[in-house]
Amino acid sequence: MRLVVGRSLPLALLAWSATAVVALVWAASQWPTVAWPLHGAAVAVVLGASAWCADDALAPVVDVTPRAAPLAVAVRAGGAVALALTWVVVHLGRREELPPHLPLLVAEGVVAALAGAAWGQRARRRREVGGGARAALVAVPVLMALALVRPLSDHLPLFPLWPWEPWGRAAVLWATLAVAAVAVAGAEVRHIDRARRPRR
Amino acid sequence: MSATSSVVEAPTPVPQTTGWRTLARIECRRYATRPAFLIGTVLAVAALAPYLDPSTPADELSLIVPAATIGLVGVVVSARRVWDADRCARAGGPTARTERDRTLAHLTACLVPFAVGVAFVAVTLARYATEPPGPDRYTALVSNAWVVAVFASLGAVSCLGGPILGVVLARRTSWQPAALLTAVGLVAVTIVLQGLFEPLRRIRVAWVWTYWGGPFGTPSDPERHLVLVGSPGWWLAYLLCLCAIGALVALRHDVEHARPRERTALVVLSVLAVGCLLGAMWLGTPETVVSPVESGATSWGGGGS
Repeated sequence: MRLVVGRSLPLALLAWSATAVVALVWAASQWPTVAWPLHGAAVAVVLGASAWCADDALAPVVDVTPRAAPLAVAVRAGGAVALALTWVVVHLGRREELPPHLPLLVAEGVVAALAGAAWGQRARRRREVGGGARAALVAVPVLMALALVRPLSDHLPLFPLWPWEPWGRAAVLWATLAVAAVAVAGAEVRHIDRARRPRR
Repeated sequence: MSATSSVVEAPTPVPQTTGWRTLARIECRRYATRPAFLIGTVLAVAALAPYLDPSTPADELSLIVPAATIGLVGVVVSARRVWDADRCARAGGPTARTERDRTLAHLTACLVPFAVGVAFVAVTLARYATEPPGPDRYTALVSNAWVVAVFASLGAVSCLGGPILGVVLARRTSWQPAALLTAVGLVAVTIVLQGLFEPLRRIRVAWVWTYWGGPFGTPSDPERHLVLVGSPGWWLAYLLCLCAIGALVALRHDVEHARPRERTALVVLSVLAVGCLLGAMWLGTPETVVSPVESGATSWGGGGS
């Protein structure tokens, strides 16, 4: 088990990402008027690293053995879970300094972790070499650019900050993203379940 | 030599320049079709949409858009392209094209995002000439050359520098997450050195992405426009020097084909960069200039409805 975790997960990347998430959320909460784009950058890091965890070096061996596949998927998802936990803990620790919409802010990171893991696993199942990394390399810079520029923030408030911004609409937006991520993740879980059944 | 020995004909030499030019054309096409670049370009074009209304004045703050959506994204896009091409080259075995040729091609492809940045700046400057921002903006306090230098640096050179940084990064490391962490670090340092923190305003120009004016506010007026210290003209020259240094550093990674003149050029460019940086820090606007026109805002962020 330890071997599978050590070989399957990009532990160095996970360590860097968790550190970056803590530092970025801390800075964003400490100086929200100046550094709020860093909160969006942290969401991007969570998504990217979660997707990257699906690029398992052991996959060519593990994925073809039905009994081992669920374990491998669980191990890969462990990276996303670790990042989501880091996200939740750092937000709870900084809740006094953050805008008074903690559930939504926490949901952003959790949805990003779920979306990244589902996206990466989907690429993995399709046997795309480096699919998770490819997804991360597109999603992370684009998300960071969106956090910096905040285009159409009145209509699509992806990373709201100010009290007068449409937080309700932001909640709807993130709920929609969550539903999409859950749908993709659910489809992947069903696929693993199907693969385990003996063929007639 | 006996009459039966075979005669080996020397291969016809292929001009070296045609090879990398062909590669460069391919790399330009590949860059232009990368999803992240296309998404960034769409976002940048969307930021110009308000100009469809003829009465909308130029928004000098929109220059952040190409820097973020094309320059920042370019760091990752470029690095990824180099790693992909290197993997193909390794899989293909020995080829006629050297790493230096491939690097030249990748550096040439950086002109694709640069062209988009130049187009963005050209549109913004054209709007600036016809519909200048109001008198409460910082641009009302400075010359046209100052404005052109700031717009060109932030809007166009950023679209060249980001991708070049990606090439340098990919040549120096094969750890792919480095591109993402570099982009995150770039944003984090930019937040600190954007000019909001007064003690850092002089040294902020050493960073590749900073601001020269904007609604940074005063204690009594939280959105009052300010012009920050330094000379954007020298800063533009400094950034161009950094781009050239980056290109040379990337080229010189191929030690076998490195040319001695490049080393000299690197030294000269480094000295020039230091000179330009000192000019950017100590010439131009000597102290922060506060706009005489009040913004009317009562809280940071402009108040709200």
